[in-house]
Amino acid sequence: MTTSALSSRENMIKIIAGIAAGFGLALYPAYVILTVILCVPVIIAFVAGGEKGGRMAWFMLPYVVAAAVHPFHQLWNGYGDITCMFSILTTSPAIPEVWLAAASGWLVPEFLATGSRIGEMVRIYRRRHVVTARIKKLQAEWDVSKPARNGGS
Amino acid sequence: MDQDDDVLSEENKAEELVVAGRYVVSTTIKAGTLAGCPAFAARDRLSGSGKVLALAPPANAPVSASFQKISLTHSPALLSFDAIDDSSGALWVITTVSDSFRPLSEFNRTWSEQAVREKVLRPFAAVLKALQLVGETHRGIRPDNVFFSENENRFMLGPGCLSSPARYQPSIFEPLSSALCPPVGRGGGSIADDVFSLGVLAVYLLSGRLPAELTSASEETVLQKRLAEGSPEVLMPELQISPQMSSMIAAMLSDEASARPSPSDIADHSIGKIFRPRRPHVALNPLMLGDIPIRNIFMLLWHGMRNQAAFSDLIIRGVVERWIASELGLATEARIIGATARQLESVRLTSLSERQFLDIIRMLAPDFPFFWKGLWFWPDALSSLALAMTFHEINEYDTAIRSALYSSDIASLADTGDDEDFSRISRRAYRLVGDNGQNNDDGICAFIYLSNPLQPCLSSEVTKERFSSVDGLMTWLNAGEQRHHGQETMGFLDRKQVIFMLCRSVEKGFWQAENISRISGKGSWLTDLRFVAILQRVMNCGPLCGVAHKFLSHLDDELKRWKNMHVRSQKIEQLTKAARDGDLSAMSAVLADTDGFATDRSAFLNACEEIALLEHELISLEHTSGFYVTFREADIEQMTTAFGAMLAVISICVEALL
Repeated sequence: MTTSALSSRENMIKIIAGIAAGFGLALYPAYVILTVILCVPVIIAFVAGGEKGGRMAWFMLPYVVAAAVHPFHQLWNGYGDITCMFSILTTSPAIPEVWLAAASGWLVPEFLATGSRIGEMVRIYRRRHVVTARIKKLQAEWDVSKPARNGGS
Repeated sequence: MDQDDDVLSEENKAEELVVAGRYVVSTTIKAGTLAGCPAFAARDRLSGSGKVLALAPPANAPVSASFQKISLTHSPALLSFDAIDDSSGALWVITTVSDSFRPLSEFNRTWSEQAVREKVLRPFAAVLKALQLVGETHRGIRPDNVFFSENENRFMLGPGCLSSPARYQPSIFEPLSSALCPPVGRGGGSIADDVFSLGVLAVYLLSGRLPAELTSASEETVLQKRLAEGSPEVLMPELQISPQMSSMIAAMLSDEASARPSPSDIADHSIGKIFRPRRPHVALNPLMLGDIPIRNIFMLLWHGMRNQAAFSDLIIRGVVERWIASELGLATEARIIGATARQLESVRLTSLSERQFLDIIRMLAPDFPFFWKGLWFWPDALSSLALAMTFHEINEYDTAIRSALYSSDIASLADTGDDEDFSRISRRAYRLVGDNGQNNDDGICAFIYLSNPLQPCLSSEVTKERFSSVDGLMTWLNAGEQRHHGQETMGFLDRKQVIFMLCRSVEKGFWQAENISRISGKGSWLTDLRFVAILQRVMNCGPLCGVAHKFLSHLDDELKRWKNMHVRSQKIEQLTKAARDGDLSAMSAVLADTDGFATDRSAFLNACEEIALLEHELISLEHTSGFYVTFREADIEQMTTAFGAMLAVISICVEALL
């Protein structure tokens, strides 16, 4: 897929999202506003982060959904009223919760990468220790004429 | 014997050696030479009469090969040996010379015909008769080896077997057949050669000296004169003696061995008997070889060999054939030479081969020595020649001697069927050291040792010690300090020592052929250890702690072949223990554990392989030690999304339930 095709597809998504938002705003303004406000980090990542940000936005999405279930449920219970929506936003910590959940969409992969690196380092360290010890033992037992590497970390 | 008035002085008592349990030899006080052999002052613990000499034949001039046989011959007129002892490792020959005997060369007088006949010819002929009985010769009848005592009015013949036969004979005391050869190439000869020397001695005694024209001229001039005119004519001056005596001496000086009287003839010679000397054929018309007029066979061969190109030319043109047939009356020989010439002509060759020359010499003059590449020699003297070559005494004949030693022509002509002749001994020697005709020094060295059972070890390290037995050499090796090894020594022993020990032990039947082939490789400390260990076992040398310790410090390389450090330290322990006991066989066995070695080797190879693999792994681990190998990005994305989705589902479920 070429860059122009990709950008045209993204543009298309943005246009469709814009139209959908317009319809949503007209029909269910409270839901749409709540969605937009709660999805601010996702939207920022999607719009400003370029290709990487777009991918990040997709990771954030399930976490945002997970955190946004409760505020939407509250809004549902309040019959989608715009006042109810504002009270949800102002009285409950919905915004920081959802935004933090969105941040975890960025943190989880970082933690996974770092954790895997650390795990790998530990494994290498242990293995190197074992190999070096074995080489030393063999060298002590056998007269290896060529100067052997000491190994070790 | 040189008169040497040195007596044992107190300060020189340090270097004393007891020989045969009775004679005390002062190894620092030289007492001149006897029959060419260096002598040392000695004294007899049991008796004080006479001057005791301890003779020490050096390595480059050992006693004759038949020394043991000849030394058993006793005769009143022959100086006998009181003791022959090699228990110290080196050969010592003890003889006692009465003080009144002095060598003839120190007298300046003549003796009467009767004195010469009764005091010299008869007793000396008896000596020769005794030697003839055991099939040996003396080959040392010359003025400085004949002693006279004015008190006892008696002559005494010095020993001839203290050097190789006729080695120190002046060439005029030798018949033509031997005078042509260099002194070491004369060989044992026959008793007729001794009769010739005795004849010259008689002339010397009767005239008090040798004719001035002989002593002043060069050896070669005299030789050419003898070849041209015949030895009796040249060597016998005008003497005031009876015709009987004169005829006998002339017969003794004859150039043909068969024309000389036998020792019995001389011993039993009655005053009235007259010998009729045979006159050799002399050509009336000389054959011109170059610009030399040739008048007899001897001249033809001598000059022909000096100018082989001209001689070949004359043979091929048929000149020699016609000349010997018409002038010398040798029709059969002429026909054979003619056949050779025609054969050469048919293949367009312009010169004869060494073998063809040799055949012509053997045919025309059977008394003449062999000729090979410029050297006149007798095959039985090849060991002496080889020895002289080893000591670089006759460098001009090196090529000839080497070639003759390995020549199948000489070997076949010299093979008389006797087990002790040149060809048999050389074959045994070459087989012993695995020499297949590559002219290597090992074969020659072995040949020298096998030819003479009393030949001392030729190694330059021990020539001074003159070791003629393995025991002596072994004791020296055991006792000596750590030696400085020259370049030629690869291991503990040098090649000459190895071959010496090999030959001496083979002579005694200690070896099997397969043992020899194993140790005849290149010298190294390990092969030397095996060799000396076998010698120690078969010759019952007893513990050799000195030798063992010398080996111990040089076996590091061998020990390093064992790669397992634990096994190696075990081996070192075992070796040290064996060395302490002086047991070389045990040391050899420790290192010769082939099964153990194979196991060690294969385990070592496995270990090496493992180390290589581990090191490879280590290198690859080092390369991945940065933040390089982690989860793949796709994995992380998948996990992140899955986790997020799971959270979303849980969240919805929880929300629905509450």
